[in-house]
Amino acid sequence: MHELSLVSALVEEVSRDAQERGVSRVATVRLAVGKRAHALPHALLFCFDLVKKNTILADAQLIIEVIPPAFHCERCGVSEINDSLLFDCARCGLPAVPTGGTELEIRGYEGDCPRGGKEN
Amino acid sequence: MEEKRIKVALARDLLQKNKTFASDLRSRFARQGLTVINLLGSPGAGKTTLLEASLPLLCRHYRVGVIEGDLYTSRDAERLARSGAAVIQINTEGACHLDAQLVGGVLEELPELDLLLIENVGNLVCPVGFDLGEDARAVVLSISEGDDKPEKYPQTFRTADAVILSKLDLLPYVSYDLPAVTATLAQLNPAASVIQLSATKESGLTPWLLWVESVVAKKRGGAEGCRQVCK
Repeated sequence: MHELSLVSALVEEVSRDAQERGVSRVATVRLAVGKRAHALPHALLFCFDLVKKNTILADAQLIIEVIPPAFHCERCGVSEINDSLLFDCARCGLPAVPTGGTELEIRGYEGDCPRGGKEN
Repeated sequence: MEEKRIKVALARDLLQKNKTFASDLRSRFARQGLTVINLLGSPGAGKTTLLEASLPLLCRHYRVGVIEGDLYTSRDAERLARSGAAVIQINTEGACHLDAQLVGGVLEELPELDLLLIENVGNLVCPVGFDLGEDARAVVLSISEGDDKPEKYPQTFRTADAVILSKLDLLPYVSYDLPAVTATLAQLNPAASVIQLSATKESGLTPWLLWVESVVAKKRGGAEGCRQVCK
């Protein structure tokens, strides 16, 4: 259950950023989770509901975008998205370099400001 | 005044906080000339037994410390304390991995060292994303866990600098395709050293000790592999 540490970091980071911008209530948070990031979306959602209580994210919805694994083969120059466990190139079969699918990134959020606020 | 809904775009890595702590630890270890190895593996893979077998040999040449990560009990720390190494237990009380902040919190309790071995919480998944400021990462995988584990936990094996195939003495008794495992590891992570050993039989320890020594030598920037541990 390292999802709990990840979600705690998310709530901490978004709360801090939102308070700096004068946001009093966060409505949605968008999170990108790579399929190879070793974090389960349903466990993240479960932990989010526990951690958000008594914060300005209490009413917020967590929207998770799952990012598929992507690879680049330096030999063939081929970039592809596939679900291979072994990170091998579909063309030559040799190990390819992962270029996506391990993300754990807060992409953004929406929130309400009582006195206007600062978008970016 | 009317409420206004705003949209904020961020690109913040969730692991950034740990990465920042780990980077501070790495600078601190560099200043101290301390080599740090993070030892990963499932519960029962033989991490503690490997340390038990190698600490007496390592302690002849280095001032060695061990951080033991476990959910509960100090059993492993007690086992290792007999070796002469300085041992600190971290009980995570339910958390499935060590993080850089936890490690940073116990460093003051250790004496001046040359080599710090961190035995992570037994788990092939969660510790992977948590950098501890280490110089190298070794994953212990026992024969009895089955030959499908590198394919099932690719991320763990991709981030390893060495993979220790432990309990090799059990090979005649279990169904295990050793050539297939080494082939999968070569494909997943061609740069990793693959070391086969049996810690309880004390066989095959030399390549492991030489690997530890090469990590220390690289950190010190000195002549690679002075081979002092195995003399």
